[in-house]
Amino acid sequence: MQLAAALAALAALAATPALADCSVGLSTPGVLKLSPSDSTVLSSQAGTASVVVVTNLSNLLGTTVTLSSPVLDTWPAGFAAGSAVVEERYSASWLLGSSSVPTYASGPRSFAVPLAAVVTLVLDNRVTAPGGFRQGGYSTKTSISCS
Amino acid sequence: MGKLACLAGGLWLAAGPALAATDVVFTGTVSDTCTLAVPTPGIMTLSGDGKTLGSDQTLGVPATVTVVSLGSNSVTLAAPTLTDAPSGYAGGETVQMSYSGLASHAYTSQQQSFALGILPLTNLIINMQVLNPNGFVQGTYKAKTVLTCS
Repeated sequence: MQLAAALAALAALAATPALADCSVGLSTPGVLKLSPSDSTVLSSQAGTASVVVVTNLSNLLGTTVTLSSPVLDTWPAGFAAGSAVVEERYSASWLLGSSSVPTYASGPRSFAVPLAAVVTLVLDNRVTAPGGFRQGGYSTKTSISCS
Repeated sequence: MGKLACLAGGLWLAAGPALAATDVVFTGTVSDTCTLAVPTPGIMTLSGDGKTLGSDQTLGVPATVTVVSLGSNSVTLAAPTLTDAPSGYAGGETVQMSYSGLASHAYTSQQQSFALGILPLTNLIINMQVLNPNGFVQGTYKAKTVLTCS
């Protein structure tokens, strides 16, 4: 009888949607600004983005946080977006641990986080355009996921 | 009891890890601007025949102007003028400028201008010369052109 009850409970759990092993929340969006010393560089040094990742107890193997390759999302007409290079760097910390890549690069990145951790992630984006930037609005995007 | 544990593990694996994600967006605006700076002012020296005071004479130094432009701008170089001369100098000179680098023009006394688009930090080299068939008296001379970018 006890076995049957336990099986029923497990079956019920399996039938419910899976709880996320973690959650990702954006605290502060980033701000891009033209470098005062180099008009070919638009970077977030004036306003980094901040993200909080919370992992829970459901994934016993720990959680992996992944940062996608950054992309140029919007730009003004006439800007040669194809020649622009978009890069990112990050610094993450949690209780008793940290991970960071202080050098700008284009590729995706990931790092492991232990269970039940609150991770504060600070992210920078940078766009380099050899021909400079045309007047107008620009935006870049990095997708952050955890699983 | 062992079977129960295996079944629990199996169901847990079947549920699989769930993924959470968000997009982090960075935004910024680039405004139409143009900046000029003169890191190296020019120095004029006297020619061998004493009738030309110029920055392209021996030991002379051309002026270097740095230009950064975002958007559609134009640079104007005003007609060059002699702004300072020692007392006793009788005048009668012709002041000319030439430039190269970012754009180029041979020696002229006329105002010049040229268009700029998107331009990273770039040098404009300006030479200045004062011509006087009567020569120059001893003292300090200054000549200038006014650059504007807008």
